Amino acid sequence: MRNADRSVPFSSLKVLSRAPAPRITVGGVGRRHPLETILAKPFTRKVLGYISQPRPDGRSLFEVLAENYDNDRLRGWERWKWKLPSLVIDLALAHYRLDKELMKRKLFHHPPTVRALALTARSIARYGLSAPQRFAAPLFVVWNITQLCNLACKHCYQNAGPRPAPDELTLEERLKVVDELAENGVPFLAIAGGEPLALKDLWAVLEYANRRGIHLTLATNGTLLTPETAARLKECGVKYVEISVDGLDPDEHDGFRGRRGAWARAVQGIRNSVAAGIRTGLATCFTRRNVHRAAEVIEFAIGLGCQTFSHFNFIPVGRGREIVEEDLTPAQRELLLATLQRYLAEGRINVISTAPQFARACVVYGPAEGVFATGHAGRGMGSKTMVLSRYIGGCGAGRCYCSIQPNGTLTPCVYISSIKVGDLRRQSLAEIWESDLFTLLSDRSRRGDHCAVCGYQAYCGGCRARAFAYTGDITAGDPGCVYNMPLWRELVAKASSELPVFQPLAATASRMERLSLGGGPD
Amino acid sequence: MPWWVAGGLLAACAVLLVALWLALRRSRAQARRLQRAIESAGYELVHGANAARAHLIALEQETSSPLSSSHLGEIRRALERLERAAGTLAGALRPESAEAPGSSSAPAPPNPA
Repeated sequence: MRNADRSVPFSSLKVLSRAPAPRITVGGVGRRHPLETILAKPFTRKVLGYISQPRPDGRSLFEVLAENYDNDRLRGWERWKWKLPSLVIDLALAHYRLDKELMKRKLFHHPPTVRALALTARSIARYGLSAPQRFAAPLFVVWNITQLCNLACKHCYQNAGPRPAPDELTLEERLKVVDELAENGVPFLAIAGGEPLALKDLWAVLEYANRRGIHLTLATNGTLLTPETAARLKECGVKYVEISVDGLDPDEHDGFRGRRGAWARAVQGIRNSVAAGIRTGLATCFTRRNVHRAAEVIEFAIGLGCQTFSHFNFIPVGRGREIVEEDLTPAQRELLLATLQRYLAEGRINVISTAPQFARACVVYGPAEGVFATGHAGRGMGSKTMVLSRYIGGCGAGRCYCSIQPNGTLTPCVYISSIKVGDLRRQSLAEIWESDLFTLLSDRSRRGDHCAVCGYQAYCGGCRARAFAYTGDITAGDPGCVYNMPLWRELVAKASSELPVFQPLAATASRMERLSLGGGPD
Repeated sequence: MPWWVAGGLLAACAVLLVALWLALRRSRAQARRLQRAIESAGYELVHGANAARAHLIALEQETSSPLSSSHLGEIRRALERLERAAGTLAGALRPESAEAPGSSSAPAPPNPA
């Protein structure tokens, strides 16, 4: 059954059914930045509200100011009008010893960053400063634009296949979705699928989204990524392409992906993307089959010229439910996170992960002035980034991130496609974003098991998709986290009273099939 | 009061003030060093302990696994961090720690590797 076919209304969701667990982690050491005190003041909230409020032309004062700062294209009176604000910004940059040209390029004249900052200001004005921050609109949207895919991957959360879903959005409706995102100030959009490159409407959507100033990224299996396609993606303003490769063994990849030759074509796709000058990432979904080769896979990505390595946290949903026994144990995941953190700290490649624990791992395994991951967004050095990662806050489902399904329904996360929160065909994004479920997900105090008491709650929050997939309670502890080992043991005990989770796959598979995944998800 | 007495008193006061100011500055610098050391040590102690705990839990789960040695390696690293933090803290708490041979006024940089 396809994900979109089954939906769970919020009223019937099982929530907060699990009590907090005894606290294992020591907490209390969190650097505080002076800016936090300033941003928390009511006066600052009022100022932020004023400068981030959309004006009649749809843009905020902050966006207009950023665009006109030191803008050589301005002429006559317009040029003089913006001289004084530009001078004030120059003085501030000089005071904080920031490189003017760099700030101009990466911040003031980089529309998605400006839009993200405007959205952050609007969010602080509306909800106050909170760690993690609740956003007034999604900061990041993953749009599964089609169900159509030329592969049949065993772990596909989307249950994608050779045909598009019958109720997929038309091109006109897709462009309306882009308008909706732009009007709500969404800065970052990732297009996924299915296989987005198999969709003929993709190019029109990309061109339009680019024109509307949205930062575009694309997740693909890479098999259709020819040099011409890569060049066209670049023309359409795609800033980052992420290609899935499950390991170094072509046969294993092809078996997992359901098509011979998929590995070779995906690797060629990476080469084509790198050659086209697009920032390219290699994404791997680690399971018990390939996790022992994590370091080799990252080295392979570096060798191919990828700038980013992306870890996909396997969640047993969609077709992935059929291979639940391949999910990593919390212990395996912890070692994987430690490995990823070391590569991130080393700096040869950027490392991102869909596991919210990765932000926590950067704090746990790195020094105070080391490298920190800011959720899925990227990395940075030092305690300022550590503070930032507390506000980005790990799992962003329904708080700073959401997913759009091929038929326009909005879900908290790509891995929670069975909970339909709203429908963009009939409702506005702003209306859906204020849903009770998103309010619940944004509140970290409403969690069960160790996620309720964890010292890293603000950095991580636990994967809501995994909690929901395994327990049916979206607020339960994340059973994939080592600090929730009692919950994992409980789940495994449900499958078999004597099941050692770390037995070889073949021995555990049949018994793990009996593992109850709760009533809610697919 | 003769001028030279008043001048002498003034000079003595000035010398006293300078000495006081120097002592205060020194003690403030020492306090700042101490604060930095405590913060750094606290950071290492807290997160090192949590890292050790994570892998201890993992090890308890996987006693017979080939990954046991990896978990032990992680615990060893975490313990090294705890020891380093304890050393930094001890060094900072020692009087005149900045001047002690082989010591540094800055907290020992933790080594993540």
